[in-house]
Amino acid sequence: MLSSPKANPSNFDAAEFYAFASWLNHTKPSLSSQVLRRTIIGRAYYAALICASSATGAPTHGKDGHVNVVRALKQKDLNAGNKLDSLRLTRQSADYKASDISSRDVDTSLQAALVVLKSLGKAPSGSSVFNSDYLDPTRFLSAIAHQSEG
Amino acid sequence: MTSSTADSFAVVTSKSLPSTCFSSHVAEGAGSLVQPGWSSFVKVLSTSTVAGLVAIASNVAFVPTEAPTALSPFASTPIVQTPISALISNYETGDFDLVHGKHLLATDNGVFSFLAWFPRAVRDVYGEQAKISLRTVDDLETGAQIVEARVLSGLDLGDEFDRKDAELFEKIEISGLFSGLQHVVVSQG
Repeated sequence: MLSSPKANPSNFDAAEFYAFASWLNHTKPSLSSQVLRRTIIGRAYYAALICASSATGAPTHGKDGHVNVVRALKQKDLNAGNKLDSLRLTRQSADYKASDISSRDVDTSLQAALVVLKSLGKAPSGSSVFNSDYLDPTRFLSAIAHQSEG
Repeated sequence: MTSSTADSFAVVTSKSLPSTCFSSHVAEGAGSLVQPGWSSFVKVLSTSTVAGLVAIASNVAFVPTEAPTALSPFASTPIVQTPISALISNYETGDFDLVHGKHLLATDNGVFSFLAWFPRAVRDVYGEQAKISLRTVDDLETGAQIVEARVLSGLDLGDEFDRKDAELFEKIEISGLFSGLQHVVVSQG
């Protein structure tokens, strides 16, 4: 059984967003949920973006901030920079557009994020990309059930 | 002149000149074209084998003619394909904004060169069955339109997918055409 991650704000690593996104995709509490798919893509994107920003020194804020991070990463690694750009566009669709997000979109987004993280030496090590049980759905669902009964 | 206009022409001989100008006779080597609606009368073109071309305005009457025995003057008209059209024909362009996309291709040599080369690289890596979708995407951050070239390989995600993706980018880097990626995003579908 995986343990719950400890909350430690001083030790936050944005790459963990990727681990969380992967865990969420692996857990699949509701495979067809558009909300779930969009959330996974969003977390995968921010894992890649924030790590790329840290590695390149390009800030994410300001005019065209995210694009500037993409440009900076392309100069270091063309493939990784392009993957971040692709992921950036997918994340925009996921967050702002009503068009359907497919499970393939989710999988390719996670793949793109992983390419970026590997390029930056931030890819998860070990046999699993996540080592925490971020949210035990059984407990979560049972808690709701108890509330309903009460 | 459109093909529909051409359909409304009938070619007749002078011998068959009728007062109604309707005829199904087809003259060989018929002469000039008469604009539809211009006249419903036959123009005499020569004194020997007089041939005329009757233009019948489609809103007045339509006279179906027999299948022509001579080549239509339109049959030999070559289909002109511009370099940009030729380039685009290598892609699936269902979501491609032709106006913006063609303008970008016409004004940015880097984009043109990259997209002209890219299909061959994709075929080399993924085989002939791979398709590429070309589409224009609104960039909500910058307000610009971006061209996305999405590789539709049909591969399941896994080691082979990763290996071929890396191989494709190696080709892009070796090609020296990556300046086109300033305005083009390559993605996997």
